[in-house]
Amino acid sequence: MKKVLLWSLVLVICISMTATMSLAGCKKAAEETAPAEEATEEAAAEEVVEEAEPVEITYWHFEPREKEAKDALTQAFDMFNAQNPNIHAELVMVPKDDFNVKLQTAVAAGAGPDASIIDQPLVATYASQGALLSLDGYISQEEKDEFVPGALETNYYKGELFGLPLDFVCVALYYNKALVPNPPETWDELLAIAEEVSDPDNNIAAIQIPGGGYGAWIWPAFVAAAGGTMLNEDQTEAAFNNEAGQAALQLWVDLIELSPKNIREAGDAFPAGHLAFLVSGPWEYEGWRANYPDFKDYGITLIPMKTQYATNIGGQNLVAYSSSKNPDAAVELLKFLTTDEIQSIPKILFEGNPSKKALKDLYKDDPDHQVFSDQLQYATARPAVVNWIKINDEVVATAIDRAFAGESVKQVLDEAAEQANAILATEPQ
Amino acid sequence: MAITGKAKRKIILNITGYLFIAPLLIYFIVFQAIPIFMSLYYSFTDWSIGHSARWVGLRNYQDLFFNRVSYPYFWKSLGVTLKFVVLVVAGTLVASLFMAILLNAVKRSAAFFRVAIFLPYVTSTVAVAAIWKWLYDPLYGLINYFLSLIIPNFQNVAWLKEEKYALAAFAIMVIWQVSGYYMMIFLARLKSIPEEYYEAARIDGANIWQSFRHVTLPMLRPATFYVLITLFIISFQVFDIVYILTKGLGDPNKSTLTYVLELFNHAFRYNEMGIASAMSFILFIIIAVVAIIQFKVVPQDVE
Repeated sequence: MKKVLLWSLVLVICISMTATMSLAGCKKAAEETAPAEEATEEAAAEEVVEEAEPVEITYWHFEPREKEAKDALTQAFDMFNAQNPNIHAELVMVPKDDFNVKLQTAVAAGAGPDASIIDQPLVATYASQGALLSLDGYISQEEKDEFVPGALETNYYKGELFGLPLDFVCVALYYNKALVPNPPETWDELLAIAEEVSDPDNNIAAIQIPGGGYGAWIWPAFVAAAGGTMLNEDQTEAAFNNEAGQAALQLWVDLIELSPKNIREAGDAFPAGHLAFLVSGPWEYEGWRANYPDFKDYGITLIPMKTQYATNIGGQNLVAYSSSKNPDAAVELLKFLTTDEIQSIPKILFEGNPSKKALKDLYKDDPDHQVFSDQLQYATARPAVVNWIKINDEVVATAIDRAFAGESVKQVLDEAAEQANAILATEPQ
Repeated sequence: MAITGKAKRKIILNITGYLFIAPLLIYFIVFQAIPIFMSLYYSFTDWSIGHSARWVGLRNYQDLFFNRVSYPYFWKSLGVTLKFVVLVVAGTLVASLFMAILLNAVKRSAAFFRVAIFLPYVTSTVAVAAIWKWLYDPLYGLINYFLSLIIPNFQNVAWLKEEKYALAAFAIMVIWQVSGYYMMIFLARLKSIPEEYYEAARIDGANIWQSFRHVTLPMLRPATFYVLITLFIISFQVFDIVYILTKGLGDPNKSTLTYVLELFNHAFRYNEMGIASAMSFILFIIIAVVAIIQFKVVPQDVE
């Protein structure tokens, strides 16, 4: 009696599992056929030449928000498949919000793609797991030299190259022309103008610099502008508490004191005319073009320097996976996607700035955009350590917040450095 | 082996029954029971997705409790959450009971007010966050505007960016969002209190406060008990609204870094799945213990 029940239950579970699997199978088949249909026109021409069965590779990309961007990507893949009759590359677009979790689980389960786009700081994470294909044997020195150094730098883990830079963002300095006719070039000028224009009684704050984890992403730009680095050369110990780091944080504290929170934190404070300066990325002016079409009275310039021009860097890299059965084909695709030709296709880059030196002046006609391209030439990569996000969020962010709250810059940085060193000691060897 | 007709029917009946519960049972086993037991296992391992799990015994728990260098925000996030729980539980209890009593007294357009008060509860948190972000805005927000009308020389406040106000500001959002639901529960219970009790109280010479204190409150006990327990659980697990408005960082200066937000960060930002699993079991134990205490201490029955 009990046995019968048990068996019927087992049967039900089996049926439901088969059903789920075949459903999943259907979904996969549907996904596979969709791009194939689009490509049939080109494929028809190709098939005549084709003799050997082409190798199949899969590539994952963030799903672009705009249709033009999707079309540009699809077009690039059609070109690749047409140029390489022995490879068939399939493009899979995954929404950006789900991308990391999906990729993480798929790679762990051995069902990941052959190649993909990837968030910069995750290169170290995946490389430390041995999940990425080392590109040292594939990419020549000449090829490396074609990339903007700061962008290429984000692809190294323990001295080995694991990816190619695709597109990049960094922060630059926005200034309100009504308040600041001549933009500053040095820290002293920046601080002098800030003191002059700050006028809390009339709701004018000097600058908006975010605190917390987001501020911690921007702060290295100022450390580098003072000639410092976040970690030592071997990336084993914190260096941000040296003189450059202290000067950078002190500058922020001085600027923030001229920028009351109840003005600088207002929504859209800059286009509304409440801020003289804003340190941020290209998404700001893109948003204003859409939401404040009449607001034109701003300029963008390089981050002022103490000893040198510098900025931070964020963006996307391209990687191939060590589990790929066709690593040569995967690397071929990465090289193709970073050619000058492909990078110049309008809208194809996710955040807008190409990583190739030759394309530095791609946006000559759009001065706002061009500034970021210029600024990018001075970018320094985040430290390539697995725990960097944690150090950013839990250590550097806290130091900035504490300094903003009035604690001594030297003391908060020394304590942060000690804590960062303890976390760095747990890095995988 | 002979099976009588009766026995056969019984078997078929049983199978039918199991077939009916099978979908839920399978769902429960595959998506809840197995993951729960797996995360219990992982809480005893050093595991990040991509590496194989390594058994470390109780080290994750030890580290969370005592290692202030690697896990500096465990205690802080617990403290933030406790403050938040107190604010939300007390605030919602008072607000929803007050609204329920008002609505119970109102005869005209009661349905309209019921819907209006309930609406925030079924509004998506993302929309709630967007609205409140503007209400709290330091220069353009309505809250600062109204306060400036009442208080002379009022200095605008960036409510969500000041360490001393941010958590309370979040608590108010959540209270506003969930009060409608608990109001309904109180209201349902209020409607079931027989009018005779109040009449009897009046004859005995009780004033409004006394009849509220000695009739309404005791009669509401089963509802109050349910409200307390569920409120405690939802406010302890607050995540989405803080995640949306602080981009997961718990700014300013970690003053809104709630326990579940920190748990999420360990799991999906710092890739420390073992630690995150341990945190989720600590949370489970805390909630279980407090629920048991509530069952023992809070009166549930009407006497």
